[in-house]
Amino acid sequence: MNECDRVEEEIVELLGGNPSAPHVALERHLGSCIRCRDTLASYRRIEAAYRAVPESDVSTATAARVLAAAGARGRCRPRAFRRPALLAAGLAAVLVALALFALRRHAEPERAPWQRGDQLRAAGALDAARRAYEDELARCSGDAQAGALLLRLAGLELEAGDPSRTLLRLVELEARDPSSSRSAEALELRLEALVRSGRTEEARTAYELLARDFPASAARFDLGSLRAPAELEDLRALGNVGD
Amino acid sequence: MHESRDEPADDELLAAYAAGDVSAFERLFARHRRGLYTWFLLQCGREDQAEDLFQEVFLRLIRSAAAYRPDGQFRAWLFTIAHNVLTDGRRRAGVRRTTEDDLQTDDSLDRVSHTTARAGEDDPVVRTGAKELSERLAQALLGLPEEQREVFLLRQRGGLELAAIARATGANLSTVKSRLRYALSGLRRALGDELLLPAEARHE
Repeated sequence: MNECDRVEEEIVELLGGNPSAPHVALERHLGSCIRCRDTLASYRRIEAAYRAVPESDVSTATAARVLAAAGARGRCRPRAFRRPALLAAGLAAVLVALALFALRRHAEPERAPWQRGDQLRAAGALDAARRAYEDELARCSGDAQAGALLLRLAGLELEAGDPSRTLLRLVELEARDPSSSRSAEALELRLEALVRSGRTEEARTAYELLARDFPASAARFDLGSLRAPAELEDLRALGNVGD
Repeated sequence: MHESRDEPADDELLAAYAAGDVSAFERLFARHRRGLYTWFLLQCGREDQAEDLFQEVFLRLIRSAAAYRPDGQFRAWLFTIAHNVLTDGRRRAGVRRTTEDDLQTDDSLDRVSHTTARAGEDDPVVRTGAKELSERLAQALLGLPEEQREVFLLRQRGGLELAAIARATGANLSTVKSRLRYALSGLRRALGDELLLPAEARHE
């Protein structure tokens, strides 16, 4: 099995949602192998394409049979099916509401592609936010928008407690939107992910890069809150860091 | 499927139903009916078969509600039942693999295609792209071996992680990973990278 085959297996594990071991080797390989980056990007697009297939609904007759069976085993009969007229009125109300919703949505100004994901993330629904970002990422063709979405995904993974996935997202970001990968936000995310992963030497290099290009960000960066290992104590002396 | 923090969890609803609250079952049913039905539709490509299998899953759930031990894994349990129902259906030869010839005359898959196409109706580029993509998605999926298709859909539509898929299907974890890997590579070959690009980029 060659390296790319082994990496493909690890990509499948990553996409399979398994609790991740640190993906250090995967991350390094993706940084240098266009073929495997393309494989990861294709698989993500495939996932997003199938997630985007709208749901269909079972027939009213089948639904009624299921609910009748459920009611027969419970104390009460299903309320909505006692009165067909009431059901018809309810369905009509739902249709009107849907039509109004569609009209309103049509009239709404265009929103940023990450807006839905941001809302879900703010509500603490990280998995749903991840899917929302990934779905938009699969749809967008512009590198700048993709970069913004990948930055959000990187931040989300850190929030979810998985710094190794943050680093993988940043590898994807570098491939997709190199200028964003050199932004203060990206460098901060990388630094935090490396510290949390215990990759001390790389964290040191990342901090020095941040301090060189964005000294104000480096000065604000709170290594202390990350309980950075002792080996990074000297970095605190480079600025007002962690105190 | 889209539980919010304020809504009761699946486990709570099922426990309430087991205690006699039918409205709890109605909520649970409303929450999962579309996802489960779509899963079956994508598995077997035929409305009539999908409806039968869907109904059987819920009938089994109703019968075993009292025996369910709430552990926060309702979805995995639901799709374990779905897997068993699908397997039983295949064993009875009541679920046959749909061939590409069937796809050309199968109204049920047209519903999947047309629903997706309507989503981009205003833009002819997007409309053409969406319809083409959804047709190819359905065809590509049905071109996979059943075990690979099932693992892929348990992941993508069921939302189950690999370990949960292994438990639901009774396969070991490495087998599940292999099936997912082959499913992804098979779909990639069938769909082609160009088709998976955003519609605007495909028509440049």
